[in-house]
Amino acid sequence: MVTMAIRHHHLHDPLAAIVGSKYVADEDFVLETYSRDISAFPGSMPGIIVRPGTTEEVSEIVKLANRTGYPIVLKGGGQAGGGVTKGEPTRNIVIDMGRLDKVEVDIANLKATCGAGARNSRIDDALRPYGYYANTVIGPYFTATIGGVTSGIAGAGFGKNVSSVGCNWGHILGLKVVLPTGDIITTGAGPDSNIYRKDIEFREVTGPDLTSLFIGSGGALGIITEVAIKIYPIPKYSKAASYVFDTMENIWAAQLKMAESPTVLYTNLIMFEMANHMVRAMAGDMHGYGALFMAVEGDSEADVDLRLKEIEKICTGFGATRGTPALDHYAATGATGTGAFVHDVCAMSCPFMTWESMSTRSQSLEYAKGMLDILNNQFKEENAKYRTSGGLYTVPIANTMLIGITIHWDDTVPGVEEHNRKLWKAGADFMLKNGTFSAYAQGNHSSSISSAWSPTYYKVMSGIKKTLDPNNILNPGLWNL
Amino acid sequence: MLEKYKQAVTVCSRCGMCIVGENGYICPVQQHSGGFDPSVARGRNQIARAILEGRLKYSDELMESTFTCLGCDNCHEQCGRVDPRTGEKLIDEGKITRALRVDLVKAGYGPPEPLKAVDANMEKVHNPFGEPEGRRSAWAAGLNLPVRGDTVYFAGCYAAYRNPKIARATVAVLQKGGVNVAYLGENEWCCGVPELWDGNAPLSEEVIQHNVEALKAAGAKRVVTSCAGCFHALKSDYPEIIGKLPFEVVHSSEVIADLIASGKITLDTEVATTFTYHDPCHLGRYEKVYEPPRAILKSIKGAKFVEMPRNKNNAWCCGGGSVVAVAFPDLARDIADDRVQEAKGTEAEAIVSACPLCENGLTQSARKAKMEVYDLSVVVANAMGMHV
Repeated sequence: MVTMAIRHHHLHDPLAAIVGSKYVADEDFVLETYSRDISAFPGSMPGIIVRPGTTEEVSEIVKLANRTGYPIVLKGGGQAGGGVTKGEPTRNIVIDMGRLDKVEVDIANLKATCGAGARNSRIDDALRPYGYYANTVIGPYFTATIGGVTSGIAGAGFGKNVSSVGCNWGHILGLKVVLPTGDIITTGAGPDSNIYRKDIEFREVTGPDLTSLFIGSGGALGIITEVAIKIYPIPKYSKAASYVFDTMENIWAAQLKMAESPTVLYTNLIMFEMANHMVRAMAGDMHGYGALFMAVEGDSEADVDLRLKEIEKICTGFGATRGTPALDHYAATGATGTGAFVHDVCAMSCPFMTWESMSTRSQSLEYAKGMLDILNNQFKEENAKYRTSGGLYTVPIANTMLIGITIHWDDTVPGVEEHNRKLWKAGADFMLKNGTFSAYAQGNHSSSISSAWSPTYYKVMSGIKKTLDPNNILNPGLWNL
Repeated sequence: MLEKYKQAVTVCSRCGMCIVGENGYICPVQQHSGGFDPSVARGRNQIARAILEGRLKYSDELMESTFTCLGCDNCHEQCGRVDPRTGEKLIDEGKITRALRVDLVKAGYGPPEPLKAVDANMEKVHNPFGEPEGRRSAWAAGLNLPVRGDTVYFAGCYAAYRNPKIARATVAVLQKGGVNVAYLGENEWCCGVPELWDGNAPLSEEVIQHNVEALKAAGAKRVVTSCAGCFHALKSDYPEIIGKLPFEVVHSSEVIADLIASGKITLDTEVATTFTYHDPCHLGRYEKVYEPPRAILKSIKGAKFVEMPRNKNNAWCCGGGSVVAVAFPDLARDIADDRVQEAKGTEAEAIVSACPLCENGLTQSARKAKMEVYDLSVVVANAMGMHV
């Protein structure tokens, strides 16, 4: 064996001067591990990886990128399924945000300030001793970072109480963001929007809501390094239930009926088809069309039981039977609780790709049938050949219905990834035309979503991008910008 | 050898459950290195897959990164990728890492220099320290142990050469409980753990063959060891490599717990100390022996037992696993410091382990933190009023 001197990327030393050489890597084997997400979308090989530990270090990296013309692509927890942002393959500086993982709890002001690299489970770990929780994500609970969720998922993702409190964007107080020029800004009535404030305080009194500009932007307009979120007391009483239905029509009618109730019946309500990989993973093969999983919370046991009684009435009215203990367990740990079980199931379900979108409630059943037609009929033979399968899930959120299909496959079957990309594209086209594609603000998903932007919308977004990122340094190509 | 694990590395879905779990961060090496993905299982599986698919070549840097893995098995413990029909885990990261090390060494990369010295010692004197073979049985001087018997005590290199108190205490406790203990004397060789982990497959097989033949010749029906590394190697690695063994393998903590439960020994000499227990990875996560050491500590008169926050299957490694203590001593020390600080955060005055390697690694860190570290067998002997 001949040992040769290591030839580093020429940004290695300047980046090492910012973060320390321990946190810079340019070896082929390290780059390989940052080249893909969990999906079947093609990867993009980075040029160099850097792991900053402070917002100021992120700022210096961005300034270096502007001086040298190397693009920046971001990485959070790495369990996204929208395809990595392509940037400029082999040239990208990939910033791994994982070291920015501090969580500061401020009970007096009901908020937590989280580094972008803080994993969702770690935020709850920090809050639990005080009796509080935050709306983060239901899964992947341990892996996803708050920065990745806020920036890289539509609406900043959804948590375990999404059906009653909406997507996470509404629980965010403000952000610390490194702009594409390297400047640092704080939104949410923080020091940059109010010179008298030292900290993020109230998002709603800052004038134009700059916080929203960065939520779900995928990092095209700035790098979120800190997220200040509202926190809530853990409810005193929490119970879970599941109901199994024989037909799609009945399960739909039941969930719409519950969602229409003037009394809020549940904190979360999730529907899974029995064909869904997640259901099979947790309960094995079961009879029936699908199941509703729900968590009910309240300040007294009597209050919770009253809601459960009403739920039972609605579900049995549409022919449902109570779920098995295994399904109830999922409802208890997945639809509420820690989200740990959902994480397990997510891990079991990976690799996956997702068709996730929003539909109006009134059109949601027909919309879901249209999506299933692609999966089960239009691609039936090819799916069988490549051992690709999928399953439907829904979640009522505010006035809409979130409808998703996760696509799963056997990664060992030759040619399966190409097939999955073709299948995914067919579903994406359907969603763009018939609903609102709502999933990852990353890679292939963002390209697909922005392909349906109107010329005027594109012009506005393009103008914002050019103003904030004159050198097109941050995630070039994301949203086709 | 990596080819054998092609299916396993391919089914890794890159989900990242090997990074953070219910008890926080999972990989000690990731926490004390730059933290890049090759430190954790999902990264290593991607690397292995890229090698098998011809997209990545071996390098010295890859070798060094691969040899920093502690083999602590925490990533395997947390991994959610199971066969839905059987519930069995599909990705055994320890085995994948060992296979990658074997292939790296075969290709001319590594092992790291300090491990080459270990290999040379092993070939020459059959222990990793380079100590004379004739000194291996020095710990048993004056004990008049037979070299044949149903129950054979396998001391292991650490107890034989570095901390003979452990071997003497174990034998004394077993004898007090009525167990007739034989030993292999100078015929005992290193169990092979260093070679299993340093990529030297041929030497590990030679050592394993020798020890099995020696144990057979000694008439062993049951092999007792007080070393967690030797225990896992003998109990699980040996049969996997050379087939079914003609003897049972047990850890001394299991035997001692049984002796206490059956009333054959009592720990009735008061020890007014608050103990916490460090689960050795090879005894705990690998072999699921969690309760016997705890039962023993709880039965000591006057002693108090407290748990560390990360215990049993979530325990943090001592930093010494898979020859990391030899190849990367600074990294091992940093990880040991973590564990000692965790113990210090409880009300414990002393840490007890059931592995001489853990005891050795933790002791250096504990000195700085003004804590004591003991091997379980020594604590038991003291609690029985014996001074070894």
